[in-house]
Amino acid sequence: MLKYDNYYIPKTLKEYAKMCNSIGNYRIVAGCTDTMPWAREGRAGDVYFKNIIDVSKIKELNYMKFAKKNISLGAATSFQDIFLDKKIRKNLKILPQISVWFADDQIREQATLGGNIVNASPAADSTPALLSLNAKVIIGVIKGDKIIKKTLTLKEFVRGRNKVALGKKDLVIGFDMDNLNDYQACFEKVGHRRSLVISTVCVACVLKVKNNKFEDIRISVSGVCEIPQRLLKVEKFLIGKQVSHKNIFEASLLELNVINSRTRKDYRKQVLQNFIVRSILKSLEKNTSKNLNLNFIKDNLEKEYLHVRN
Amino acid sequence: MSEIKLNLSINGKNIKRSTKSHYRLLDFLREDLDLTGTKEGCGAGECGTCSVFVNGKLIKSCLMPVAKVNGSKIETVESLGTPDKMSEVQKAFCLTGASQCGFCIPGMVMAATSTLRNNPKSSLEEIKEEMGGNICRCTGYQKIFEAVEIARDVINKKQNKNVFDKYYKPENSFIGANVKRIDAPSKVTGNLKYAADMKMQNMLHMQVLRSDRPHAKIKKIDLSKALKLKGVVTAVTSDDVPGIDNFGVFVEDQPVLAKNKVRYVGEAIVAVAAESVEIAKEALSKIKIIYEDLPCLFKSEEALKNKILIHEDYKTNVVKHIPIRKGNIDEGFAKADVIIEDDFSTQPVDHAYLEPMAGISYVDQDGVLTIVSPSQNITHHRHMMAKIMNLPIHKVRFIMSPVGGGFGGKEDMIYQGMLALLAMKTRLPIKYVMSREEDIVSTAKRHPTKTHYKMGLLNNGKITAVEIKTLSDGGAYGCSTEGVMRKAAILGAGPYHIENLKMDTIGVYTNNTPSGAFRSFGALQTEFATESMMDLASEKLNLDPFEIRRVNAFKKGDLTHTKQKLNSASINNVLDELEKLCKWDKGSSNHRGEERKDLNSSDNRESCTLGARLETNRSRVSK
Ligand code: FES
Ligand code: FES
Repeated sequence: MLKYDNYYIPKTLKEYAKMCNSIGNYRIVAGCTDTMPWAREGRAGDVYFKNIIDVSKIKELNYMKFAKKNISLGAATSFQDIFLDKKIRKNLKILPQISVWFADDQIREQATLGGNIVNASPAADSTPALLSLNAKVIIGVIKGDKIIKKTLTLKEFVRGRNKVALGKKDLVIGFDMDNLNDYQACFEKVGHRRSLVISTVCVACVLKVKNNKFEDIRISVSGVCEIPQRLLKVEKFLIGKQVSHKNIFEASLLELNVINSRTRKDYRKQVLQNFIVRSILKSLEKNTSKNLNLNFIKDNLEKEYLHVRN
Repeated sequence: MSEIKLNLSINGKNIKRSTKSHYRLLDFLREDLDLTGTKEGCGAGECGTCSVFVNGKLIKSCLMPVAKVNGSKIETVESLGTPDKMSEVQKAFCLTGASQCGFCIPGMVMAATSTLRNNPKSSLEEIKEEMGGNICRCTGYQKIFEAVEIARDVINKKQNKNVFDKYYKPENSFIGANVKRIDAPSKVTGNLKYAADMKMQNMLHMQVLRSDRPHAKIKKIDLSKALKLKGVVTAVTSDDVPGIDNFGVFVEDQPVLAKNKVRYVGEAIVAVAAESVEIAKEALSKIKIIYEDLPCLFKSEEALKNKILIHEDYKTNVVKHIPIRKGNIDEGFAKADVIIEDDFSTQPVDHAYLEPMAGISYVDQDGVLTIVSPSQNITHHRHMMAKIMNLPIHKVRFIMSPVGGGFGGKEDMIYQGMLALLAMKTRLPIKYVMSREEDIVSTAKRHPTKTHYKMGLLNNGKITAVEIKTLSDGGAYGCSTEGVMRKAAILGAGPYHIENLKMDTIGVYTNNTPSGAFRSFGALQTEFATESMMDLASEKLNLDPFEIRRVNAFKKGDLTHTKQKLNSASINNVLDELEKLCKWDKGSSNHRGEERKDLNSSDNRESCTLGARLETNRSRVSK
């Protein structure tokens, strides 16, 4: 049971800064969908905080801005908004794809993008997607009454399992990311149950093809390593190369050593490789260019290497 | 306890009042407003029994601090309809019989309503996707989906609304006809009160301190600090039991509260009654227990050695051994063309009924001790309770509250004894609701088993002899182990005529969570081994799995494993029908080539998939 005496809901950053300076013993929450199940038997048990500060209604954390090159989302954006918002669906195809795998419709209404990133779970779904979008984290650093904005790359921000570069009072305000409206995207995930799954392996891929060559590709993984990360070797190998079964297969082998999970290593390796290949193929499927013969690539992959059709 | 002032709209009414600041929306609805159609199946966002609308969006109220929704517009299942004025969705649920125990159903109705509000033309796939946050343990999803599709079609005027009349005027026949489920309206509207939904005047709340040791002597229980806490009324231990402190479905070996020692993690030691759940919980944290750890027994094979005894009085860890002997297996195996041997094991399983254990006890105006709980066995419980409480039988009464799913899990009287002790001691009503976690830790599971199997067969598939030994882990207390061993022994070798059979089922005590009754009552584990052996034999002998079963199936005049003569046997009719219906791809299972031909044919259901989809017809324009 989560117990507390006061539940504060600041409406502005200023109010928030004042609040956390004046009250002690508080815990910050946003959607609460992680905190509530955490305060139960078998996990944290009964937990008491004198004060809770709910940041989900802070005005400065609730925004969406769409520019030609850049898109910004407030930290309090809910996963259901990410799933359903028209502009996000068009410009950031990878985000709705992670959302559909995120818990269920009801939890998505409450859970926030910022909360998911701040928890820095090795299994967090949104981190690999944001990595692929070259996302930057905007942090509000509280210095007395002042709020100083600071920008970190996601890599600088996520420091380890459940560890982020955030001072006690600091707050994630939002995220700036690339507008990838001309990219195709695919998210692959395996977990234990359809709804509420904690991923054991997930891969986020965004790519752009021109003249049958990979013009750009960004692949990120999580669940299998302490910190979600980009597969830079795979990306480097593919950029500028022909879209062919041989290249895709060779790339898929390059970075399987990122896996440092303690359990079921071989299984995860197999899944990771399949996911890399599949996420590329599925992204390519959405490519409308006519001279790409995807069936030919798939046939050859099937023949020579792996099972890619499901 | 600190309070918060709320001002919100609930089901169209403006509500202004104070409540406990840490309450979840779920607590506020149930405890303060008595809107008990919203249930708590898990408290952790997993089940959807608590789904409500907040400003038009469906959410899980167990994850929502009530302070967060201050000023919002809330709609609960009570706003959708009443038994005499149900919504289309509710009527459709009644029509298709989409309610069994009913505990998940208010949440399901809410999720269905939300789905059709979001998109009145939702396809079946969209319905499935959007209702994915709600789980049902008994109805199965088929009838629920059927209901939502009917409701959708009526709403869209694609189907006449008089389709619902069928619910009120069922067919004029009983055999093979749909029978009206008379409790459906109370379930689909959230009107039905389960034990946790009930309240009484001056009621106290019980919480239970449970063992964190698998096997230990209890040297001392210190309640002094707990009893001093404001709002704590009293506490009971095994010392408070006035009568014979034993209960059990077959062997009465379990004390109401641990006596002298604990035998598994989760065993009850102290029960506290206080003015609120919060205070009772706090009291638990102030109780001190001094244990002396004992060597533990976790493996059933080890239990057979009797080096460590779980119940010293019995001199053995064997709860029950059922031997069955028929014919002569040595002769049978000698005749066999092939002999196959294998080992099988099964794991413990929780019943996962959606309604966690709950109950209310009180002493009525005539001094009758009364227990209201979703017990699956009230008559037996009543007799045991009379002995435990040292009361004449007419002074004990059990009332069975609606069972929100049982599956055998609610046969054991594991918490009613504590409720009785506290009601007698305080003469006040006592209420107890287990959390999901507590329920999983403390209640009986399906027996985990280890089976060694040997089967002799002729080349034509006819079984000549079978030898089975199944060892079941009964856990710390007897519960239903004895009966489960019997059923496992009687049915385990399957519906096959076996001339020479040696079958042993043995249930033992260990320091694991007790095992008890669970759907099929022991037959499942042994029959799993038997049917697996039949398949292995069919591969080995290159026979069709149907064929090898037909060769051995019971026929009229055969003797069962316990030598009862059968006057009729229908297993072959069943096999014939099944083979036809599933469009069986003939041949032994390992000679079928890469793909079987009978998958996804017209009469078969599709194979399961994860079914995630991105394509949705919905979209939102965020502010
Ligand atoms: S999801 Fe709220 S009680 Fe289960
Ligand atoms: S009817 Fe769904 S859980 Fe019982």
